Amino acid sequence: MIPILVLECATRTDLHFTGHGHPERAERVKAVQAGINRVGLGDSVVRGRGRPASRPELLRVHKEAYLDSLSAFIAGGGGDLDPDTHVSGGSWDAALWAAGSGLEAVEAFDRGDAASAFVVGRPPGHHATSGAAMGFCLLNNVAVTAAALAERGERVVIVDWDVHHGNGTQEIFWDDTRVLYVSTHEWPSYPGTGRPQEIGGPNALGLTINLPLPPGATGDVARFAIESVALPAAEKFGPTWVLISCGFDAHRDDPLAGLSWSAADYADLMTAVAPLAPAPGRLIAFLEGGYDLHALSLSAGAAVAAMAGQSYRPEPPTSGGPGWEQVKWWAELRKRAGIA
Amino acid sequence: MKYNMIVVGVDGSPNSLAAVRWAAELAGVLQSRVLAVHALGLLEHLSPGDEPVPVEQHRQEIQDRLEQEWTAPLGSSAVAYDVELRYGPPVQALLQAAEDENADLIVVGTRGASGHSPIRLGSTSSQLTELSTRPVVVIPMPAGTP
Repeated sequence: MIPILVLECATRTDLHFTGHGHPERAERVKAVQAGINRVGLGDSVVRGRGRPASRPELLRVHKEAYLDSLSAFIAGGGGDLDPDTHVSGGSWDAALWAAGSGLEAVEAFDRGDAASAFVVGRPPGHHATSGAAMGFCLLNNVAVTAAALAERGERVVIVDWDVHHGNGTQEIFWDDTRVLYVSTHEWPSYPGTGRPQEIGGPNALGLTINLPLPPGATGDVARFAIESVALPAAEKFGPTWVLISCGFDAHRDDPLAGLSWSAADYADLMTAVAPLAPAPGRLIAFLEGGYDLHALSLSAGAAVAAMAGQSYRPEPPTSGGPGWEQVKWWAELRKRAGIA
Repeated sequence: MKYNMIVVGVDGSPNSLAAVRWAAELAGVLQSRVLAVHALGLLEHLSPGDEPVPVEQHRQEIQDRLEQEWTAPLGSSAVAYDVELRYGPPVQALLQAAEDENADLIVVGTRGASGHSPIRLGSTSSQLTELSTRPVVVIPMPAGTP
C-alpha cells in the first residue's frame, strides 16, 4: 500500500511567533501531529520535513515587491502587519517552508513515494493575496503548489473548507482557466468576500464557486453543498489534481467562527472530495485554520484517517443546522444557468 | 470641487471619535454624505483573559456601539450618514468602501484602538496615505489624550 505523506515542517513552524495569546500558534502543529498519531495509522503514514519554496516558485503567485517588503520587514524583527497578523524574526523561514512543502509532496508523488499528502505548515495561507498579507497568512501555500502544477499543464481543483473564505486564493486564480476554486465558508464573516455571485473573471467564468453557509450550519449542510454543487462542477472541470485548503475552524468549538461541525464531518468531507483525484498521488491537503487545540486534533486525525480510507470518527457527525434551503437554491440556480 | 461622499474610519478610540467629529463638521459645511466604516478582524472578540464572545453576539455588540457611541457626533449633527461593518483589515476595508461609494475623501485618526505599533508597513493612516488614490485626511490625537 502506498502511504500518506505527512509533511510536518515542524522545526520551522516554531520560528513563527505571533505573540502571546494569539490563537494562530505553534501548539496547533503539535495538536495536529497528536491527532494523527492518536488514530494509529501505522505504516499508512510516513513523515517528511517538507522544504522551503524558492523565489521563482513564489513569484508564480506573489508580486516581487510584496515578497521584498515582507521579507525585509521580517528581517528587521517583524511586528504587526495588520491588527490580526503579527510576524517575528523567524516568520519568513517558517512561511517559506509552509509554502514549499506542497511542492515536496508533488515531488514525492512523482517518485511514487506516496498516495496523498497532508502539509502541516503554519502560518496558514489562503488569505494571502498576490500582494498582501492578512488574516494570519503571509504566503499562499496552496496557491504556490497549484500554480506550479498548472504551469506543467495540470488542471487543478482547490476545495477550501476553512470557515473563512479564501480571498487570497480566489484573487490569485480569479481569471485562470487552469484552476477551479471552490469554497464553503461562514457568511457573513471575515474577510467579507465569498458571495455566490463571485464566479470568476471574464476568461474563467464559473471557475470560482462560493458556497457561503449561515452561522450555525452543521456538517450535513456542508456535505450537501459539496455534493450537490461542488462535485458536479469539479467533475465537469476534469481535474488532474485536487488540493484542499483544510481548515478545521468550522468545528463547533472553534473560538473564531460560528459554524457547528464536528470531527466526523471532516472525515465525511474528505471521503466525499478525495475521489475527485483521478489517480493515487494527486491529492494534497494543506492545514489552514483551526484554533481550538482539542477540536483541531480530533478533526485532523479524522481527516487524515479518511485520506487513508479508514474510519476514525471521535465525534458523531452533525446535522439539523440552517442553510439547506440556500444550498438547494444555488444548485437549482446553477442548473437553470446551465453551469451545473 | 464637490465632496459628495466622505468615508470615515471608526474603531471606538478617542482618535477615531475626533475623526468622526471632524468629518461631521466638514460634511455639514460641504453638504456631503458620510459613511462611517468599522472593520471587523479575526481577533477582535478574543479579549485577553476573557471568555471568547460568540462571533454573532460580538458582531451585534459592535454594530450597536458603532451606531450609538462611535458615531455619536454624526448622530447629533444634521449630516446625512450611514454606518457599515465590513470584514477584513482596516486598510483594505476602508479602501474598498471608498471604492464602492466612489468617495471623494477618506478621514481617519492617526492612531486607532490598537495603539502604536513599531511597524515599517505603517499604521492604518500611513498605509492609507500611501495606497489610496483618493484624498486622505488624518486627524491628530486630541490635545491632552494620553
